[in-house]
Amino acid sequence: MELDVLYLADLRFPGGTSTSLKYDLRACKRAGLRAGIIPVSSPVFARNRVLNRALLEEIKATGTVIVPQNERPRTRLALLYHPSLLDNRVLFRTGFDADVFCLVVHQPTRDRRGRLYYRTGNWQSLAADWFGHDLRLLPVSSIVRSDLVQHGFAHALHDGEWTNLIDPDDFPQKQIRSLKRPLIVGRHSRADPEKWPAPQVALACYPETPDFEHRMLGVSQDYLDEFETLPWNWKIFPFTSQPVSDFLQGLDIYSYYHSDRWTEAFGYNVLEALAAGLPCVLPHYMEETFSDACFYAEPSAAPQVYERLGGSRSLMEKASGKARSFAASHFGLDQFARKFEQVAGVRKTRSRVVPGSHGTPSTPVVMVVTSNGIGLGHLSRQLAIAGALGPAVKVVFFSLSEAIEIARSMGYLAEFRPFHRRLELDVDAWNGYFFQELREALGHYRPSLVLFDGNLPYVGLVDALESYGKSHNVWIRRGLWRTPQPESIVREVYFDAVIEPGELCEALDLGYSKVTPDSVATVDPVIMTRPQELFGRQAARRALDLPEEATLCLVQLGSEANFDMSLPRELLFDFLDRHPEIIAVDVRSPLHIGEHSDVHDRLLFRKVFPLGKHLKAFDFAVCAAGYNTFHENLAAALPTLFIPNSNPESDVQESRALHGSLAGWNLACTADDPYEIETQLGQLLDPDIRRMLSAECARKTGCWDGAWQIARFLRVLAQLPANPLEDCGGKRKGKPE
Amino acid sequence: MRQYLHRLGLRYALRSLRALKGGNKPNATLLTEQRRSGSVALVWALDQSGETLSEEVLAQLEKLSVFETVVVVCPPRFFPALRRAGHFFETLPAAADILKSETGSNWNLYLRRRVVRIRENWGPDFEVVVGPEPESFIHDVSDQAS
Repeated sequence: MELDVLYLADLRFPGGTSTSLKYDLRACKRAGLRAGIIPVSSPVFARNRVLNRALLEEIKATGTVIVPQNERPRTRLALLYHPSLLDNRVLFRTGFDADVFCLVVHQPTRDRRGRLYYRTGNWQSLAADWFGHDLRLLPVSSIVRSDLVQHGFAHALHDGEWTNLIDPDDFPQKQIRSLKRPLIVGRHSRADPEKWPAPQVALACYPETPDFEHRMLGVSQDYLDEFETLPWNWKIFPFTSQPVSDFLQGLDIYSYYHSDRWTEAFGYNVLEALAAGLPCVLPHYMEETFSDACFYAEPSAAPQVYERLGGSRSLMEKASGKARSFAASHFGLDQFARKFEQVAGVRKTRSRVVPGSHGTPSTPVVMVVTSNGIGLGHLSRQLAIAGALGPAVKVVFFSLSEAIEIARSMGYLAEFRPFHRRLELDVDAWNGYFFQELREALGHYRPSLVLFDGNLPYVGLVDALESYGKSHNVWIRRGLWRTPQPESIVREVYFDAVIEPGELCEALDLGYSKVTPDSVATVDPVIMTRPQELFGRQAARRALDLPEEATLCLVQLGSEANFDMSLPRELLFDFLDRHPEIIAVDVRSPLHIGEHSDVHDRLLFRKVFPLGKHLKAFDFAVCAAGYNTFHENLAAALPTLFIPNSNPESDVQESRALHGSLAGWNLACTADDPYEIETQLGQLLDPDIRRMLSAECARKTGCWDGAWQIARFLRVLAQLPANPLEDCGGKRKGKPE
Repeated sequence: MRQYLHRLGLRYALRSLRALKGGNKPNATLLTEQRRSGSVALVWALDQSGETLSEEVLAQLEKLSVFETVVVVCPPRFFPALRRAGHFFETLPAAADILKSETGSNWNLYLRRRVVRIRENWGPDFEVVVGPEPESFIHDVSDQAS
């Protein structure tokens, strides 16, 4: 793999570091250069912090290469893209050969009181021993350069700087409105207390007066709690509540002051305000970065600058024009080629090639560990994700599900281990057993990624993953928990990511699974069959050997292992007795063994998995509201009466059924209400009601791509190769994100 | 009558085993205390194919009904039937699946260790093999995978 620039970057930074990388990637592509990324994890974040969504979208939009873990790229320039990454706690799984290697320094080494932000003691030896290069530092600004000189790194400094860039097209020029009072003065930053001045200073630069309204995007609650009462003219917004460009459009003046401990290495937020054409008022030291494009004042003198700007439309217009042209001319995307050439220098012959390192890379292994649920939910979701990962990885299932044959029959290598419940074993004893079994399998299969689907990561599981230590570990768990599960939540720390498949009834989710929202990534609902993959009605009926002309009712009331559905079944039989034109079809998995105690001459039994492709065969359905059935029936626009399984150990199926009925997607009733069941079954007879339900479901478009979104996320996180079926525009190509 | 006598024989053998071992299986991790004091049979049926278990396996299971715990190592498609009959089950990856998957660092070592652990974890008093012995299964798989 040949690249021009390789970024070794942590894709989880929430603010300027990720935004500047985003625009670097865009600029690099426009300059006709090829960029690649090796994702790494900075020790400054919790292990399972979610990836920056805007950056992921830019990676996809620019076609930036995520270097597969088992490849060794060659590049003209390799950038270790944050000073906290040159640290012996950071794991580099992928090697590379680079003509030039530099550490981009986005932050001074310490705060104004001398507290170190990151470790610098091993920089020299780590650069030499791990990367085979002398230490070369690329500051993002002259402020950082001065700090590095002051602290003994003058010898390692590159002559150039790796200046942050911006695309002014993303920030429409702010139109100057009539300068009536109050003037709207605003600021934005991630909600870090260091980004805020002490309360008495804040009251000086953002004063409580009818002349100004202060809009603030991104303020921590801890900081706000320091005020006895907040000034009435402060309007606070969460950092992620709106796009930054939209927020900036609502301001007249931008004003940014911060804690006296903090030094702003660059001030990406200021660059965004300048790009939007906002006059900016800043502390004096930032003049080193933004020159005469801004106004500089002590915090207490800032209101006088606001007054001066607010009193002169011509001054405001002049400042706005200057701001935008400064941003474009100094930090526009066209600056990339210049800074790249300055740092990368002339193309060289390759300096350091590791013998034997460029052979055919082995295909990475993904191990899927699924717990043992009542139904096939865990297994079904993972099969959907395995399909979306595609043939460029080898997927091995390691499951506690007795239905593991389903994965095997779909072409996957599938291992099974018995679960403690069936064996009636002590949980601690079983965990010891599971640790040994999984650890052995991890050593043998050597996966680079382990996916766990279940509500509680077992002690044996996390111990085995920790002991193995060579995989990215991802916990995939559906939401809609019935009760808080603190014992489960604390185990998030063992995973590199926690992903929650989407719920269409999210509005009714009590949020017990999202106690730490920064650590949970969410995607669209995960289903095995997307609407465009459904068989037509006739083909589906033929495939299931069902009559082509009859009115068919799908029945899926679950295994009933933990919930009594006998009343709905009894009423369904009465319903069939009264309506001879209807044939009911009870569909089970191919592994189901059992006598069919339900006997009716118009109740047919079929065994099929996955059922999703065949849903168009049916005119309506009567089903429990499990995750997969609920979302697959809605995706297929199948009119359904959902009768939730209300077992206290299961997810809140009642919420799905209720939310769907309120939204007009389905009918719903409880399993213990014979009168309501009768009424709702009667409604399903009405073709107009069925058409209406189906039409409402069909309006839910563009939200069935969860498995493919997860696969794309995993490819970035664990450096997996792309799925050729997705990239070649094949049948299963996903929607753009 | 022959079946009955066979069962009588097994019962006698089991009684002797219990007297000798005192039902003690300290390493049988997958058995509850109660099951450890009972008898355990392990059936290796590694090359079962078709929709249902073979007549031979079914006949063995019938004979082994005097054991408190019966564990069958077989392909996973037979799990539902075994569960319904009240038995426990384990599985080893099939040779064809191993070859197709192109995964794994050392199948011979992995399967040998797995077989040892299955025996340890269940502590069987009696083993029955229908089809290949586990050791020859491993040998064949390793040959094909290498």
